Amino acid sequence: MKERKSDMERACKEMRLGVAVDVEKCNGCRTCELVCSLHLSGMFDPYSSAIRIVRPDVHGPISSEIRDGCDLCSGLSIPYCVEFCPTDAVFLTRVP
Amino acid sequence: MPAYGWVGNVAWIDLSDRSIRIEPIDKYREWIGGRGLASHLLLENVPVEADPFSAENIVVISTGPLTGTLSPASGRLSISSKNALTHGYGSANVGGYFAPELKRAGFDALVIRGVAKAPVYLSIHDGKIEICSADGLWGLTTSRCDEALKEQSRNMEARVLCIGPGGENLCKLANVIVDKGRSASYGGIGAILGAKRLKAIVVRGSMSIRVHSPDEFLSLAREAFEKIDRSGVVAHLKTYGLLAASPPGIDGRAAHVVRNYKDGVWDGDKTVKTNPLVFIVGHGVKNLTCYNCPIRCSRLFRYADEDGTNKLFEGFQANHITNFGSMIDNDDPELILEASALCNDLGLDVDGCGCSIAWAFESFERGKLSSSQCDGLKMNWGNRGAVIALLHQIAQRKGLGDLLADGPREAAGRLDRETIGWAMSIKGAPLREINMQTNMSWALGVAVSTRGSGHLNGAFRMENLPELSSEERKSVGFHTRPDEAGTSAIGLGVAWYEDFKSLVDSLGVCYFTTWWINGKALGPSDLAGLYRAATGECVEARELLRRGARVQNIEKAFNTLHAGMGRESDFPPSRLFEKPISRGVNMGALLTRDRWNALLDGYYTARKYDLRSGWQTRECLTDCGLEAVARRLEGAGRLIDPSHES
Repeated sequence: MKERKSDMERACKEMRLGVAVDVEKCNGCRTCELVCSLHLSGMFDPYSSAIRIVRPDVHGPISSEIRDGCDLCSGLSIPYCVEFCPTDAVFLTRVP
Repeated sequence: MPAYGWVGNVAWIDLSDRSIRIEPIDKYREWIGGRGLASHLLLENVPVEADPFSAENIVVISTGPLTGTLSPASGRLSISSKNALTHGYGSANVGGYFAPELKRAGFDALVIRGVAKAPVYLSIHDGKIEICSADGLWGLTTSRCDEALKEQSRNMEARVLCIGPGGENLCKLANVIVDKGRSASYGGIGAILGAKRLKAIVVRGSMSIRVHSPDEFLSLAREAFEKIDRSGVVAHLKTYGLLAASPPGIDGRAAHVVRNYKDGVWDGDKTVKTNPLVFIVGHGVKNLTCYNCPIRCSRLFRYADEDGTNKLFEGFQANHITNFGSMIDNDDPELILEASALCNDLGLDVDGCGCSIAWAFESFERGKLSSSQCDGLKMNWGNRGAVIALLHQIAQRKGLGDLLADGPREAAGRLDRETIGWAMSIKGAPLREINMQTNMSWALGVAVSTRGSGHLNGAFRMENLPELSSEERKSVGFHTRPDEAGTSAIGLGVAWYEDFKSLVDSLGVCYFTTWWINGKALGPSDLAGLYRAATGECVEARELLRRGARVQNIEKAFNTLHAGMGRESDFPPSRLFEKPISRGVNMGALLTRDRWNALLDGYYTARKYDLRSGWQTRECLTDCGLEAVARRLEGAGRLIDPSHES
């Protein structure tokens, strides 16, 4: 499993694929954090999620952060955060 | 043993002696959480003779085992206490982000008792609770308090629950505001916190929430999200949001309430001027959401206040259009928005205020209030200046506001008993509902609601039922087609939805994702699956509904013991039996006492309550394992036991 994960991570790096958030579409529900943390740690813990949604003012702008540790949900055709996002704000993209 | 679903701790906080005791959640698991846990704690811990504003009353702020998990719309919080308006059971429920944050800070629930010597707030961070001085916060509006506490805690991601000036001044229409715009409004809960001199709670958590079977939970959550999406709820509510239920409704049949329920139909041009789309298109800024919710029914609105300053606010709902619109005969959308936003900032319940102000307008019109009693305000229907001034007076308990702050029923008792005839309330709580003469499943659910009056218990929409399969309909109690439903079927339906809604409120998820709003959304089996995977407890939907029935029965017993409620408490105000709707699609609609008595008989039969007194029987309590509650009622002489009757 670990091997497959690192293979996937390597492949993603080679293809320069990653997850990104369109903050204009994002509503700030943080479902992506929940499903990511469940995948990575087996628990609901936004701090162990590789994707972070930050909205200091509940009515204000949203910012996002993709951290180290994202394996694009190795073995899945669509990462969980992309699949579960209710506004299609999270998407796969080529990273610089 | 690790706590699955729950995080494991209930904090008992005594503001009188500043003591804090942490208790494991384990002994309370049978109460599920949220509203269920609160019902048990309130019945066991609040003395019958306790005044709602006394140190003996407790406030239970509780999450559920699904709160903060991937279960859809898992951001709900229950806030429960002895009711300031009815002296019976009080429970409010609110979304936003506070509840998951509280769990991640290590607490499933807070139980607050006592009265602080001086105003305080609670600061909660990763298992630690501090009682801090609220110097500098007392007197602030709710939005300002939210900002000040975030600045003070140097953490802009902290979540704040607070009261406004209304709660501080013990206004019985006061609410609690979460995340600057979400209100928990029933039961004068803001005034209860004000009486405890508790201004706010600020919470920050970085702990994790575990579930028993992560893979199964993920799979069930996926199915639940897909089911909600397929149901049409998302498409409908993301468009209309919380304004979806505004009269005349999508089908043009919903009844208004006009000028303090004098009629159920409003002038066509006024209806057009206050149509939900006027607000959505003309004033809507963007959709907002609660934690982990696919629906995003909330919205940010823009309005101009009396000085012409542009302002933003969240939390605007269909009932706001009613209570600051047709209820006071105002068709100015700007006033509806401004009054609603002001209520949020002052920490006042919009519906209760609209109801109190409508009573005042009518009392003035009928010569029961003089100009001098109204401080010279022009008390003609819909007057913008009077409405805004009265809201400030209510929050400060000044002038006429001191009278209106207690709600229309108590205000009428203090002013002139003749005005009780147009004090629109049930069990002492302001009536905030449309469709009371046209939709019997709705009206019955509102009238028998344990928290006074309100549609968020057993009131259900008959039009949802065709969305259920015939088997599902039978499980809800409907063996007939909905359009053929008689009074007993309606009673069964209300009783079933009461149990279901109690369960939903106990789990810590939002009813907008469930059968309560749409028969194709999540039902008991879906929720039971998520509960099992979260907690590891092998329990079927039927057993969870039985636990919902226990909550309902405890709240009912609380009302009987604390407020002496019985059958007479389950009647809507007399005006609804006297004035038929004058014209339009609902012309002639009127409640009749015979019909209402038949509805109550059907409902009491379904619940196994006594038909004559409306009290509980030994059978209904033993059915759900509440023998101890039966003994308490028996001791108070308020239990009916047919086997003992001659």
